[in-house]
Amino acid sequence: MRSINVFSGSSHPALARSICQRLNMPLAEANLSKFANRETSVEIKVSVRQCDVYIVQSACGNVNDMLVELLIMIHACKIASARRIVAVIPCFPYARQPETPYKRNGMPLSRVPIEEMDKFATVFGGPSANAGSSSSGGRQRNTPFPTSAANGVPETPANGRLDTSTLERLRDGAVSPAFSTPSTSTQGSAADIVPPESPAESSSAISSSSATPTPSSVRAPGKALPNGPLASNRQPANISVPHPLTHSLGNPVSNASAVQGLMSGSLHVPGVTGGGYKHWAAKSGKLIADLLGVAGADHITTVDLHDPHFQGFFGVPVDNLSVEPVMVRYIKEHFPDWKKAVIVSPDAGGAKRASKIADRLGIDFALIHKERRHFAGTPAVVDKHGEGSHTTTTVPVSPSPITSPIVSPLATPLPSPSSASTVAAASDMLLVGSVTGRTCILIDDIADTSFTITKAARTLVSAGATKVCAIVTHGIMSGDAVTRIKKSVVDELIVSNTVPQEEHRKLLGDKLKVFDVGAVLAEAIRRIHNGESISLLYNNLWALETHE
Amino acid sequence: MAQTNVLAGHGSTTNSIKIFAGNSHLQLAKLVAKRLGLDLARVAVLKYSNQETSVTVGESVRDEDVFIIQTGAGEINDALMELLIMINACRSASARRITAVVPSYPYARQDRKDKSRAPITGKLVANMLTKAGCDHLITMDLHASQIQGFFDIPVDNLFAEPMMCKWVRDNVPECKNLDCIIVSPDAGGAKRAAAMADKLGVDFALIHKERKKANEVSKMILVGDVRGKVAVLVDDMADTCGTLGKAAEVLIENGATKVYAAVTHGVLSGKATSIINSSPLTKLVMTNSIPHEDKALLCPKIETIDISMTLAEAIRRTHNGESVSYLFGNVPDGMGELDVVG
Repeated sequence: MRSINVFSGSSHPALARSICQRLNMPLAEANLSKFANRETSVEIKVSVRQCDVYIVQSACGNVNDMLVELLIMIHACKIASARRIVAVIPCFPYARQPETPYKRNGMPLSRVPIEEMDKFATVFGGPSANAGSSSSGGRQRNTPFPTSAANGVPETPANGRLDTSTLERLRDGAVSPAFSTPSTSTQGSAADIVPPESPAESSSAISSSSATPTPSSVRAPGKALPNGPLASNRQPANISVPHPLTHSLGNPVSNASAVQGLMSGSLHVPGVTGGGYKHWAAKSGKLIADLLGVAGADHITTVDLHDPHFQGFFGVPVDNLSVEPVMVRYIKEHFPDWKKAVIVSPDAGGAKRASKIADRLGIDFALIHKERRHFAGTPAVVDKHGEGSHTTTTVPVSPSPITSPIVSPLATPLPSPSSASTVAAASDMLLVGSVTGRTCILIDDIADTSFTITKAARTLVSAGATKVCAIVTHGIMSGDAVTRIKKSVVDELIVSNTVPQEEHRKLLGDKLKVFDVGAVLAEAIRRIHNGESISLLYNNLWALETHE
Repeated sequence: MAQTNVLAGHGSTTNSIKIFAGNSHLQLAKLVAKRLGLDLARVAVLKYSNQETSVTVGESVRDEDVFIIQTGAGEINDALMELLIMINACRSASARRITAVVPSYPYARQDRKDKSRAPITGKLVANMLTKAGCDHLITMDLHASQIQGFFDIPVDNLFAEPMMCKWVRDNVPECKNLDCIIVSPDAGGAKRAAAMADKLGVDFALIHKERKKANEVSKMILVGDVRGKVAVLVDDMADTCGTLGKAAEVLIENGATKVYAAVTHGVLSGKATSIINSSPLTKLVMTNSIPHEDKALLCPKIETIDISMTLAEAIRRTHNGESVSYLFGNVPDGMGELDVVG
């Protein structure tokens, strides 16, 4: 074919070669490496003037390196007068948008070892930030986030600011601030709480109309602290609450001393989200779309985008190809009893995807629902299965038995997967549907830490499934996910090769089967180049070879 | 303890300033914040298990003047992505203005298309920063000052020259009796070296080299007279240090008594430290635009100039709407008076 060039980034050259083989053309030559100072170096070796350029790069390994390399390649082709640049990104980076800073299972943040917390001193009052500083509080914390961030309630208001509503409620005594012992799961925090100074002001300090910030003495707003379930074993400090009207809340530095008392403990104001700022994780999807556009991409092709709404973030056309036809064909060819199998979605979000496949095959469908326990810090909540309350301070290390209304609890505990994240076990898995005596096929789009898949498999086996297989489009399997899969009750894991699978194959052996998406991508590239419709690719009627 | 708030609070709730730091140079960011009498704002920049960067902002930035301090060093692509995501996060959180403080601009050396299909990555980075939502850029000693033209947003290209001149005056006694000479290790830096020579009132020389391959130096020819003088090599970046090492040898061969090197950005990648150690250089002075404590442990010839005061002044003046041009020719007061903690 003339005037078309397919380049490969350094993330997945095998897939690019497979695509080129099907297109019956050689891979275009480009030298990709790094300079001595770790900057990416891109040299395009063939002329791309007035050519259709396709750059194949998948988000795996070091995602930031891959992304920057892709952007530089697109940019290089753009200023070399390429006619059109199509970025073929089988596994799209930053496709998942987390709501909370981290989830208790799945997508855990890489934990910073305690010894290295110095580097993250600015994070929520870590050890180094407290040298002589005031507004970040005197707390010494060794975790990236305050403990209660797990349930979305921040520990203290940031920078000493309280919003007006909380202040008023505290002042009026409607809510009593309670102190809990700072999380026993973090070392040494209790000893580091700065004891409050004795109150030197009378209660008139609260209602006085002084314009200066109140001094560091702290005083309760006239109400004794209760000894209820929220009170802690240690002597709660008194708080002086600056009156919102007489006190400038604007300047964090001058205000800091006034709220020293507040900052030194863990302030839980029940019913209010800490009265302060809710930490949020940045969602980078739109940014990545903008970066690709600004680098000069004219068209994006991807496979099974995690969130199909992503297409709206782009200003350029996006082809979100589906491997569903390939999955359907794989099931028909490799599962002799597929007519009696059950398609299972491991979470509620993937129900639509799994049910579509079930409909195509004409077989049954089931769903696993994760019941999350919210606000685990409040002991008043009793979970509905009667197991008693959980607090974030006492995290069970071994997984809790999986209970559900349908399935009876396990008599013997299943071997627990080796888990790096110990907070994983606090949710129950409910199975909706029946799988007794059937082969179960789990369908999901991404397997990253593989908590979802392995836990779902356990649920299915305990519900009576005879065989559990999982078909996943993007088998990223980062961290120790592969070990987790190996030790799990998943009989077979079938992934596509959007992400390179050689390393995983070495560890998993026969448990892992890989099907090739090169055919789908090659066909898409051919049709895009020739200006033909690709809607046929969304249809399951066309013939594909599936490789292992 | 009463903190002198350099930002001269107006007393009312005018929008204040927030300083965020990425992971590339936390120490410099802390110094800058300390000079301004502020704490660094709360942000957690970490990685998910699949290596994607995660930015969690712990404070409100609504209607704030946000400064993000991140330099192009270490794992540059990670640093760049962290910066972009932080800018974007602050933008979508309604910050009033976002200024990126990038002492060492990443990919500055790819600033033109010098061969077929070479990417101008410096321009790409400029596009990306602007698109992410950056309103202003503060950087130092850009490899080519024309990079300012890559941006549609205002760019402050600060100079390390005043600090370098001060260092030379304080540490090279021969400078007073004009037994000192400023040398540029390549033709491209001639203008920079000449400006410094004029400021110090000393002579200027130049080393001309012909390159065969990237990062490999061949013949070097000295243009100028260095006999009996103390030479000070001046350059913007020291990466593999092949240039500096060879230049020092050439100068000694041609009669220089001692050779110093004053470089703004000390990348020091690969075998740079051993090259410096085995070279005839007496001292290598660099700014702390790029962190190099670990390299300094290996190479006793390294001395560091702290740029945190200049950056802090630039931030303060930008926030208060004052002129920054004072910094182009002067070293701000308060240099060296700070007790560096941690």
